[in-house]
Amino acid sequence: MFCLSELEDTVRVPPDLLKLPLEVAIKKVLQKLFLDKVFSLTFFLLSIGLCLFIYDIKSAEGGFVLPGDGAPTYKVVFIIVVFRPFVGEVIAARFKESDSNGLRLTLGFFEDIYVPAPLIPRPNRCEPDPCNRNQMRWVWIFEEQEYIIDDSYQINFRVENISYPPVPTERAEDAKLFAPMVITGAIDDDGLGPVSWWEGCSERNNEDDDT
Amino acid sequence: MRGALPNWGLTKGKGNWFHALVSSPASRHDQKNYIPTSFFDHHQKNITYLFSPITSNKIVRMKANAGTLTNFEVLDLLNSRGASNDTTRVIAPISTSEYTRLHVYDYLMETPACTQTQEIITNFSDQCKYFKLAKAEILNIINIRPSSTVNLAPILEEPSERGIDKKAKEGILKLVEALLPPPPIVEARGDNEEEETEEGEQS
Repeated sequence: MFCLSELEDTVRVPPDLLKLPLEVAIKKVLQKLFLDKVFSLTFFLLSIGLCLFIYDIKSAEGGFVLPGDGAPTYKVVFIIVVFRPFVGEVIAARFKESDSNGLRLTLGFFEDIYVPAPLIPRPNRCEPDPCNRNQMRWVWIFEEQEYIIDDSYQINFRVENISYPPVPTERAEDAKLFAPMVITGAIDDDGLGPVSWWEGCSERNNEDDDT
Repeated sequence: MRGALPNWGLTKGKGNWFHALVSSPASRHDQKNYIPTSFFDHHQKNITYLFSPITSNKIVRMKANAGTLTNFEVLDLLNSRGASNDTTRVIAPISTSEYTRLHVYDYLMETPACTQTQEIITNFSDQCKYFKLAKAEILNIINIRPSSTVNLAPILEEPSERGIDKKAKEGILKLVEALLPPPPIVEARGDNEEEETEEGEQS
């Protein structure tokens, strides 16, 4: 789920960082620019993903000081580690919350993973959670056994889609925090869903309804 | 300029780009001369031009995929940069980059990646060639470490059409069992539990 991405950018190193070795200074500036940000270009449907940390600086050249500016500008080629899962990848996540539309899972560093209701194994039912504030709880009914989806075990899900919604120009007061990268997951297949469902499972459950 | 956006480095409307590209001082001094017309050449093999929103609207040239990493490799990277130093986490205030790194580290320590080594992974992917698995599937298997056929099922794509029958699946599982160390034992969290419970690692 992690990739390396090579980027080239023109980086302006502020003068107060110049006392540090060049590589360290450039890394600091790059970290501020790129870390924790999602880069995407909806115009061309290309994306890097969630930038995690700088892997390496391949080259830095230039160091020209532009007129009117006190800081040198370098053209830096660097590699960063990004979080960008591919469609079809199986990832282990934790349950975060659920509502009537589906589940929300989290990886700790990334929390916008949604499993919409159609991708939860059927037959299922959604009921108000007895022990939790205002949440709904999803329950899978299989062979007359009920399997609850909650946060007691890791949940394996398969990535169905990654979308990068455009930045909204206006936001309502109580709208959810904007998520620049949203992963849609599915748990309606063999081996997916909470790991406790499949522990000690024998061959008989091997119905292959893979798409 | 762009107005107060939260920390999301995303592009805005098209209208700003051209004006910004042409008028930005950096583009005039740029040796390779990234002109707006080349902006449309996004089919050029993996090299594309992005709008860098923070650094005063100039182009970022990029190669989106310079290599995929397994969970273990990322964990290794984090370790080599001292992410595991527990004492500093509590005492010192941490910057945003540290925060994310710690989260990633915590996440990875709960996956099978924490018991793997580079040799194990190279060895495993070499042996997997016999089963003619796709690179993505090998990556998935290394990251998830399936322990039974049912865990392997979502990873393999169209196994029946590719001639991966039950015997092959069992062969893959045997390989996993033999080469990849078992995952750490993560205690199940109780409901509504906010704190992380203790994790036990298998040596």
